[in-house]
Amino acid sequence: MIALVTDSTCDLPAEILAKHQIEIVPLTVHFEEDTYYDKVDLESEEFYTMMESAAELPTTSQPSVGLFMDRYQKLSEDYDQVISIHLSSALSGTCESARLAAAQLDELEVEIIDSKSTSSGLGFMVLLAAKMIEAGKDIEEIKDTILQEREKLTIYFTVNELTYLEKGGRIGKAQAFLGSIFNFNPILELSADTGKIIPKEKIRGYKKTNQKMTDLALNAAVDSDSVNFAYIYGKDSDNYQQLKNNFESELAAQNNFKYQILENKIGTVLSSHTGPLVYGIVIYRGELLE
Amino acid sequence: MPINNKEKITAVDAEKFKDMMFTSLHWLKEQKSFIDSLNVFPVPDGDTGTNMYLTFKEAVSTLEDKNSRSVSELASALSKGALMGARGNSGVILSQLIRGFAQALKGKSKLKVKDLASALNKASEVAYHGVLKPVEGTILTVSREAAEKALAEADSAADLVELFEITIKAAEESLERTPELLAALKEAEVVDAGGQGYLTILEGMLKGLKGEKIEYQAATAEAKTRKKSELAEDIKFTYCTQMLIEIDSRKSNIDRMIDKIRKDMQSYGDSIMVVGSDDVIKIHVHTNHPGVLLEYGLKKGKVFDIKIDNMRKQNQEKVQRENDSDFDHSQFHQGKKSASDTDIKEDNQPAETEDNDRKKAEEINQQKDSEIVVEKNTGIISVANGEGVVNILKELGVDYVIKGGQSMNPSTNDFLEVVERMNTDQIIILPNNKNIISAAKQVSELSNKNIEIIETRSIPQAVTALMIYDDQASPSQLKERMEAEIKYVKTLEITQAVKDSKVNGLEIKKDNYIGLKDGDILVSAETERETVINLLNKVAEDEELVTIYYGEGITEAEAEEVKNIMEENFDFDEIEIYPGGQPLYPFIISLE
Repeated sequence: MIALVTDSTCDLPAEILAKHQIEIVPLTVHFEEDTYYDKVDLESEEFYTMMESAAELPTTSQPSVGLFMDRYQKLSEDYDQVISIHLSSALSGTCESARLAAAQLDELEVEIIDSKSTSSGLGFMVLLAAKMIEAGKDIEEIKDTILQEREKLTIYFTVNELTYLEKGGRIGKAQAFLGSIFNFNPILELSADTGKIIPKEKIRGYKKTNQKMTDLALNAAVDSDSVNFAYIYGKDSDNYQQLKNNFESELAAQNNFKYQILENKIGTVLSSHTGPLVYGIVIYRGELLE
Repeated sequence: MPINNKEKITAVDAEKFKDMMFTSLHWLKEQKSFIDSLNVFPVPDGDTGTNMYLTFKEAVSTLEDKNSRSVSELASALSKGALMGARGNSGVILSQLIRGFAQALKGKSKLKVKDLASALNKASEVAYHGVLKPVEGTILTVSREAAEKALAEADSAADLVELFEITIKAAEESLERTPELLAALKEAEVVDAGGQGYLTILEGMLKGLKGEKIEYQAATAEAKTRKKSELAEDIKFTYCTQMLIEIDSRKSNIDRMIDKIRKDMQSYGDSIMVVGSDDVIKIHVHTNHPGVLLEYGLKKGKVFDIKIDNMRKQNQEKVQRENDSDFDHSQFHQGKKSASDTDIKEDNQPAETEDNDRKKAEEINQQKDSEIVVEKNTGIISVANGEGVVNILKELGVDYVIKGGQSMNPSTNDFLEVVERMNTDQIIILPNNKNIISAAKQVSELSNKNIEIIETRSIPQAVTALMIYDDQASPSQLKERMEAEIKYVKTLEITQAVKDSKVNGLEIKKDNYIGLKDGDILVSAETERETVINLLNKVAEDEELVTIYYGEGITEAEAEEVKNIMEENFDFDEIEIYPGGQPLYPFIISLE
């Protein structure tokens, strides 16, 4: 039997995790002296309130090697193989922690896969792996498929302030569209090529921003027969709702491809790096097995 | 040298030609305010007279130290000077006229009657070619009709004085007809300002020809002091060294040679400028070792027109002179010299304000070294006035903001200096004003860097263009994309009328506010607020984002008030307010 492990940044809702028996290893958020496990100790809304009032921005950490070892060891009681899929190694050391933990466990076969994505992009890969496990595929085939399918992921998102991304070091300083006086909305891309966040466009006015994101997402999907989308968001906002409405009406108007849409709330670790008002669209140009 | 008016003057030598030019410059200076007043629109404008004067001054000042025996050489110096000094549309056209004039005189040691006719013709021809879309009823028409008359009468005219008189009469008549050709002139009941400027220059040349009194010290003194704003202790390199090198263009690739020289010069000093055309390269460097530089030049070709100034000494003298001016002038200067020195003092004032402005602009840019370090692939130069606007442009990626705008047009040379100081060969320029575009365009002729002019006519257009800057794109790709993008933004400007006038059927009273959309005057009202509302009522469609840049003299509270009125009366999604600090325009507003 194959066990499936991912981390807390996959943003899949609890019922899906439970349904497919997906194990989550949480990353951690540090607020001054205190440490919180992502999606375990802290609700998003509470977290945003803390973020707004805290003197310093929160920092985050990858799960410790020990945490992975505990989890893998526990799984080894019921399983002999583990697939462990995680957020982009260009953004976090989570894959590395998992690798170090796996290296110390001889009795268990652990395949660690870098999704080169995060949030629902990672979520889609985890779901795909879950369905393949359920379909009885072997671990090699699943691994090869994920390595191939991760190339079909793209995330476009916008943040209302770039300081979070910049201070967290997840976006190159030279490329960051730094704008402290002048207000504009950046559109950022998490590309499957590099697993890194790159600035894509600068736009003024939220409607234009949402239209551009819609165009980019549809454009990314256009050559596929079947596409999975996911809206991702931190704190709910009118701007986010406008994007959803806009995107859905344009989706309905096209008949190039079949599609499904999920909606997932972003956890505390990712929003520490993007700020609460992040939102965007994840595009997976592929099919999840039914 | 008294000249008997009845004596026929059939030819003019180099010395006389020089006198004519300086007299003409002086006459243009006398007339420049009048020419400025002919501006059609009541907006505080690019000041045609001032621009033509500044351009011509730059041209004529090149003759100051020239002891040439040939009219041809002087004319070609004039031509180069005008090209560098060109500012404003009228200045650019004037520089083209002078260029043609010089081309026709090539190889002539004296200016004869027929030469004048053909030079005036060539001048007009070159100017028409230099303008993308020639408009009749402007300086172009005046230059053409005057030249046609000169050509027709060249054979029968008794001498140069007579031909000048005939030409000037034709220019006057042509000028009188300009309102028939341009509706805007007719409505405003004026003649074309640029045409008037050209007529004035011709008149001045005739005055010089007839030997009227010449006072030309002022012009060159002014041109010189403009360059030296630094205090003596700030001067790192003592000698301003300039020379021209004649290159054998059959043996060398001039573009490559300019590049090479420019690179080599880095180790000699700062304020480096290396430009070239045809077979002559001009080098300008501030250095401590002018001798070494001359030797360097000799290795490249034949060196001429060498000029070495000790800037430290000049600076001390200038400070001394400024101190002197606090005392009784007549104690220091006597006779004619005193008169011209008083002139210097008067002239220095605007020049120094310009210096200070320039210095301020440089401080804003925090550029203390001569090299402007660009950290992207393409350097971006823009033009603006007002601290807030300058800061916004810089934040959006502009590497150097030249101070200027509607009533202060930078010259081609101002652009060229910045272009040459940038450590990159790919440059785009956003002029942000319709009167500045053509001066910027001439830069690409003078520099061999890869330069594109993005034809932005306002600050909001620049902001929109900068939004889509892509560091991987070439200057020409950027030009294409940016110019496509700026069509989607509307620029509204609110300013105060500088005179009573009739425009587009509107009766505009002096000091009332006028509202422009993309440069067209559409409304006028007594208050800024009313003007904003009326203008928005006329032009607002389904735009979502409004950006208000409030100018000098407007408080944040006043800007907020305008925003509130907009929110009450219109259905925009977002309204943003920024302190622009721009002069003359209480509000610049963009709709997109």
